[in-house]
Amino acid sequence: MNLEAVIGLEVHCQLASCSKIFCSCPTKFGALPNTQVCPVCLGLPGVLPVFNKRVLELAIISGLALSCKINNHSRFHRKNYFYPDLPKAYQISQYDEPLATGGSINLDGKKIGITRLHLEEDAGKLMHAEGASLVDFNRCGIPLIEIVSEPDIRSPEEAYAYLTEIKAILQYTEVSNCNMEEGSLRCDVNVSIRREGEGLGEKVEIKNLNSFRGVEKALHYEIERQIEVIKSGRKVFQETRLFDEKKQVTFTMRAKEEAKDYRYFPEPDLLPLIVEKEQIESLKSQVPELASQKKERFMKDYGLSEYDAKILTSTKEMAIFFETCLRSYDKPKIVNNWITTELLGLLAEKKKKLADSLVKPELLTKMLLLIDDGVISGKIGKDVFAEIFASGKDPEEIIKEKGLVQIKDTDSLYLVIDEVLSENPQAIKDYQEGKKKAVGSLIGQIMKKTMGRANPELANQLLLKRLGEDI
Amino acid sequence: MLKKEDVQKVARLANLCLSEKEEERFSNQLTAILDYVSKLSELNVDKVCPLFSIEKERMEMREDKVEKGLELSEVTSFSENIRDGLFVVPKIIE
Ligand SMILES: [Zn+2]
Repeated sequence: MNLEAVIGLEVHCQLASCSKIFCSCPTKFGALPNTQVCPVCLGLPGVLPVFNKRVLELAIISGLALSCKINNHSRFHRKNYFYPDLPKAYQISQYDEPLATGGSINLDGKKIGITRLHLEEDAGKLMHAEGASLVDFNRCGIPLIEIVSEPDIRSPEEAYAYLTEIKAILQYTEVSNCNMEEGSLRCDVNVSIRREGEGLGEKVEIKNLNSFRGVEKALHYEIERQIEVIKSGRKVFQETRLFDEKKQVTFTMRAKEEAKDYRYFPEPDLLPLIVEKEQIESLKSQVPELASQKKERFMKDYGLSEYDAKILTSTKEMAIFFETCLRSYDKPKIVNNWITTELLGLLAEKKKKLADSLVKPELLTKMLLLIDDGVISGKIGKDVFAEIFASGKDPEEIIKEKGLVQIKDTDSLYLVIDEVLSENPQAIKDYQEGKKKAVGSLIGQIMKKTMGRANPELANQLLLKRLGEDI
Repeated sequence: MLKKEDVQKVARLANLCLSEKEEERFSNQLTAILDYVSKLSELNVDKVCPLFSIEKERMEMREDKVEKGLELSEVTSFSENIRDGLFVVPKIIE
């Protein structure tokens, strides 16, 4: 029996406008509960929604970045349901005429289709307390786009890659901060199992997914569960399940008394949304170079490997950091090495983000120039870099303070070399008997004695001279 | 004639609890409304463009400007059941 998972994802993303989608309330995160609301977003009687121009622009830019067709004519609908976080008892959303359709993204050569991208308003936030639930309406009317993928995704890993790419695109275009902790990026999953030669199995929806890794894990569990159900001859039921992050399982959401029946109808308070060709054209110029395009360019222009180019373009800040370095230090591969090994290593170790690190491009390139000029060795450079990372200090100052300047004068080096040689008569004998490898251990001891400050080429040259080589 | 089950379903979706007597009464009323509106489908509108508004053809939009909304004291005055500035509702279990 050949079984295959068929996965589709719905991503909800908050657009970075200052005010809400249909009223002028602020969208700022972290305000006290119910302090960013007005009669419109609270759904008080007699009010009218007025659509935010900026929200439309951001949504169009998102659609363009996802290679969607922006529809000249789209509409808002009311999606009706009762829930305490929805004061109007309907959500203004788009239904059969979404803003954008037919897009796609590329995952390492595989195309994942985007069915549609539509605009909608967010609901409030429910918190659960002892014996009651509590509602904060601040999020009501926050502008969202919903991005629906085609069921083109075949594995949990692919779902993870898709989400990472969508997030990178939305961050690069600066339409959203995509902060999952603040709720500006959320994801629902649809998964079913297809038996070869037969149609799709029943679709299961998974909610309550708080991270991309969570999506991946929930899918692993859910696919295995459905395959087991099918193999045992039972049936998978169409249902909504929740993911328990702690136990790593999905479980049936309490069966809602109602099958979903949203009774969509056109929002009578809003006219059709008309987008002119000229507006689309002018917004096209605002779609910046995206991660995947940047990656290709980094490979081509800087001769980087795909692996390195991918890391450097994983966030916009990282890519900007890299290219800023190149302005004052034109050796892309060296800059790449320092970023991908030293900088990322320290960021991971200290659990920091690039944005709040003290390392600035100028500090890194200044240090690299000091290495090139022979003031310090590459090895000492690593210590200097760690110090820059910790304190944000100028590398020159660090070198002076810690006495890290490379030893390049012949007399000082001979002193050390002679000391090492007198301590290692056996190594000299080995060398003279043809074991050229003995040089390595002698150099190692010279470096140790100078605490890494000896200029390696010069030390090597002088050592060979002392050993009687004619150079 | 609208079936009893249809009326019950619509009532359920609207969060309404109807007595049997009401179900019958509303069934009659709703049927009358639907019959009346269905007269429209007697017309052939194949060649008529949809009209979204008599007044304007497209939506007016506003600039992305923040304005102050309601004071918290006003907001909380809408309910008698407030805890720490939050609206208290019956416990929701998903
Ligand atoms: Zn408002």
